[in-house]
Amino acid sequence: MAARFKLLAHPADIGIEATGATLPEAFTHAADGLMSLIVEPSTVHGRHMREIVLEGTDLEHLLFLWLSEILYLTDGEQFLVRHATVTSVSPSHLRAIVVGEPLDRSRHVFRRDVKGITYHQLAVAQTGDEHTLRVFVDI
Amino acid sequence: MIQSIDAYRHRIPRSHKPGMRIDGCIYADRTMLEQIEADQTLEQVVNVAMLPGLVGTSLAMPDAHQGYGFCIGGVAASDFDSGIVSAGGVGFDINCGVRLLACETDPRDVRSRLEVLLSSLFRDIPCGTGRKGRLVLSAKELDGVLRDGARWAVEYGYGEEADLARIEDQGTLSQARPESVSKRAKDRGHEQVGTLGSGNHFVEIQAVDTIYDEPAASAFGLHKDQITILIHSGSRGLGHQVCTDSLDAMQRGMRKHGITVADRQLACVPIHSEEGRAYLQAMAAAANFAFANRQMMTHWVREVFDREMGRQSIRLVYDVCHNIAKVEEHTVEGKARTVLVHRKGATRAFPAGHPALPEDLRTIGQPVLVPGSMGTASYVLVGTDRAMNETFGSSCHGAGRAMSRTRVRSEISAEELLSQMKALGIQVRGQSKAGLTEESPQAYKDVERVVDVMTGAGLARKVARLVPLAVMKG
Repeated sequence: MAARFKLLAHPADIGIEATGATLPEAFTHAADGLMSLIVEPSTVHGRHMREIVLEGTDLEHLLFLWLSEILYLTDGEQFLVRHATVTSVSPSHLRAIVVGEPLDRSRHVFRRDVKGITYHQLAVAQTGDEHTLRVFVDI
Repeated sequence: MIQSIDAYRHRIPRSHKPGMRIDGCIYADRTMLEQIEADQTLEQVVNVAMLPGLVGTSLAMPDAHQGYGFCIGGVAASDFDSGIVSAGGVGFDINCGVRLLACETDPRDVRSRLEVLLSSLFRDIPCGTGRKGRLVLSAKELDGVLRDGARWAVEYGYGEEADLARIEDQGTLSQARPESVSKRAKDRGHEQVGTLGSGNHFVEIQAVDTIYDEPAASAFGLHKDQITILIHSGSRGLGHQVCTDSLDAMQRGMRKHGITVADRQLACVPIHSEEGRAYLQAMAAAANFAFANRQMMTHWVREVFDREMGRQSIRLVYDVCHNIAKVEEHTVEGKARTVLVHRKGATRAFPAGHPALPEDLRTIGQPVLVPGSMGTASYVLVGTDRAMNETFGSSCHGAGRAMSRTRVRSEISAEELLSQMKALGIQVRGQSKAGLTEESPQAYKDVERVVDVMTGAGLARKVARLVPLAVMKG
């Protein structure tokens, strides 16, 4: 299977390029990419489930809201996402199920803080059967 | 497109690209300019010059590098009556800033106890991702922090009344309104007050290596071979969430006010619009949170030194913001104007005589704190009249990154970095290996050259050079 996301270089920060055969899949992979920046994924277990429903004005806005939501769960609610499954995305809404667990510094191995999701060069594109999302985060 | 005015000033005229309302100017030497040209910094300076209501020049300091929307090291001012405010022009880490402390402990004693001091700092100052602070604030207490900033901390026993005079705006931005800060931002902040954070944030024990300007150094309370402590930190998750919320509100506001921008991260709204006012109130509250943060960490630094070195007197030299928007009076093209100065990775650098300076520094000028990268020197500069006339009284804020985090990780390991630091006689403690490696000095520009450009261009004068002894990285 091809890599679901890759990290992009930026002079100060880091970008995530996520791909998927469907738009929900690409959004799912973007969340995986974000969490991999923050914490060593293998140290997080999927013990609890949450549902996320977001409303936006376009796909770019939803991508910003979606990753900002994952970040808020981490930093505001101290809930680390192990895996996210985006079940539907349209230009006006996103629905997802995330599984993860409360933050536990004795077990979770952290990599770095992500301060925020930026709109800088944020892009949602489709080439043939592949959807590609690009987003830069502030470290 | 670039016209070099002299060795350090490089102008991008507004004729360069349709839509530019003002000129751009980059402060750099020839080599640094080539470095700056390699990424999107210049394009970002140009994009900023297109924003409505800007006055003067869209500026990039010598530590500039590509950011998101605005470049890092960017300064832009908008007319206070008719201009815009941009949340992206301040950035996620609102009032990220630097605070310098100085003590009179015998440097030989400090050098011999560095390991113990570093361990104690590491234990007493919470740092790293997901780390809660030492106190959890009630909603009412958090509102107090957001309203009163460093003053709140001093009233709660963290530090001394005298500290406040040595903080930009005395550690409290009065336009703060806690009710303009979202519940989400407060959720992120209520357990994080008094935490260092991660990334490039640090606490460093240093020694004063060189004094360049005796009268200024003496007014700042600095002398050769003195021990200093530098704290670099910001507004943590609370400030980051204020920025996130405001980016979203400003996107909607732009549609309402008919504003278009070259990059959505440049989202901006009129200063006196509902969204503009709400942002400035929330930004000020987040700035106060950062001031309180640095004030509390100062208290814990003092406790550590008292405990490990015997009773010490540790003075606050100065505290500056380097991600902020401030309402200031400036002369633009010969005319006195009230402007909102966005400094994103840039430091205020007011000259002697400015009324905002503490009384005892008014004949000297404002201390400008320029931290170097890990293992390199930091500088204390002083603001000049020329900076006031050219850069809205602004200076650089550090060395500035020169290499991406992904690339530096492929070039050096945490172990190699630690052994390099050890060879230099510098002790380092970090929270995460990835985080530490990404902050390697090779990833940064040479702070000496950055400072040389500032002084060569006459925007600041050197006062003192500080060399690192031990570093705690978040």
